[in-house]
Amino acid sequence: MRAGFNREGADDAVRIDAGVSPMTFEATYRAHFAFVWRSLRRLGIAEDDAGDAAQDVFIIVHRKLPEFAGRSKITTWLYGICFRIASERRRAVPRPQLGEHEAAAFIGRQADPGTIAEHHQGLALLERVLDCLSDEQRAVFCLFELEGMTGEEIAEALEIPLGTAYSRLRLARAAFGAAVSALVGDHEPRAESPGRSRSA
Amino acid sequence: MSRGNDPVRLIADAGCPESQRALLRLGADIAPPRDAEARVWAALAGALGGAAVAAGAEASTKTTTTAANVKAGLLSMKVVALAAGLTALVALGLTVFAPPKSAAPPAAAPPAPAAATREPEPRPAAPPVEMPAEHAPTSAAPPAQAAAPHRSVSPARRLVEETTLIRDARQALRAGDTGRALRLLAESRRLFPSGVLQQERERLAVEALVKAERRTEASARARAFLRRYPDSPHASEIRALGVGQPESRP
Repeated sequence: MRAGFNREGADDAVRIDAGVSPMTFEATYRAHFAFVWRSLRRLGIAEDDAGDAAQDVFIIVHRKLPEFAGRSKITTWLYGICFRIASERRRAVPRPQLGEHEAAAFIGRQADPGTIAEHHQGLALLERVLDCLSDEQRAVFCLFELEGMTGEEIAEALEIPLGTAYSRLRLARAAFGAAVSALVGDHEPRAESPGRSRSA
Repeated sequence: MSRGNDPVRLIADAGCPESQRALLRLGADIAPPRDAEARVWAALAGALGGAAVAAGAEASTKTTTTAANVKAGLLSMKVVALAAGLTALVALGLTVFAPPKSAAPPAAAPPAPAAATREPEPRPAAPPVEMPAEHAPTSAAPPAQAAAPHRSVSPARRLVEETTLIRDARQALRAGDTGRALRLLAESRRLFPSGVLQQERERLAVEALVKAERRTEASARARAFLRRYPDSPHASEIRALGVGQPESRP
């Protein structure tokens, strides 16, 4: 099963409801650790730093869980925390610029990576392509394209209007397409504009 | 684009260049390494313990400065050690789960709700107090009222207490001392009815009751657990014990 669409099955069931079903911290951790991890990774946290960042996220979860009233899905709530933590960390540690040859090395194969080395190379490339997006575009793009959330869920997770979510998705797609196109030299039918601004 | 009218995802869009879709597939498949969850959990318990102890428990006794810091640091290290041990035990339990029938049935132990039966552990000065929690899993034998005074105790301190109880119960169970395991679990349930390790506690209790050949109680408790946490990682282990088949799944 593709992780992008294996959204936590417990989403709808796990709610804080003071009268019915309290959610323990450990249960939250166990159920959503993988979601937090991949969200942080897609938000630009390197593999080596993801453990520390996840720890930061769950420290906040531990503090805030009693206040989480189950008004939203827990994943949208968690994602908001991931987004803030990732933004802080990325500001503290800027990422290096995209290297062209490592990009072409992967994309030239035009196929799923067959080895661990290729897999890592591909992931590094994806991270760097996503670095071409602003933090806000990146979040919308990853939630929609990789996590499989709906526009409405994304709007809720990021606390933005639905229209804003859709417009960020359009811009993010254009930027993503343009970045990949620039790396491999294909012609991207969807690349409407460069859209590389990094409005933090 | 209007509400409820999401575009087709690129990964599923044949019109999207394969170079983009290949990258997106990689991104969709991102998953944590095998040991990451346990590693972060152990670090997390340490971090929460240290911070909370420094900020909370020591202030309540008006102890200050160096002594408090040293104490907090030591306690923090202890929390890490406990958490690491517990995590390892949990992991062990998940992978090599002993079939209950293979164990020699020890003498059936009484429910033993007494808190005073607890073995002495290196423990903080104040007695543990659980948050007001009326949500302990229902079972045939409801727990006694928490006898601890209603005073604010730091989450770190509670975590240390709860973790220690569960760890000791698990060790007792593995050592074949089912009676002691059940006593420790009963105490954990009394003191921390909705603690962070309540699922682990209930799973151990079901296993202990099965080993003690108290299958009726085991079944009742297992059913209560499965009703309440049908998607828990422990649910399959409880089902594997052969008790508590749920009436229906939602």
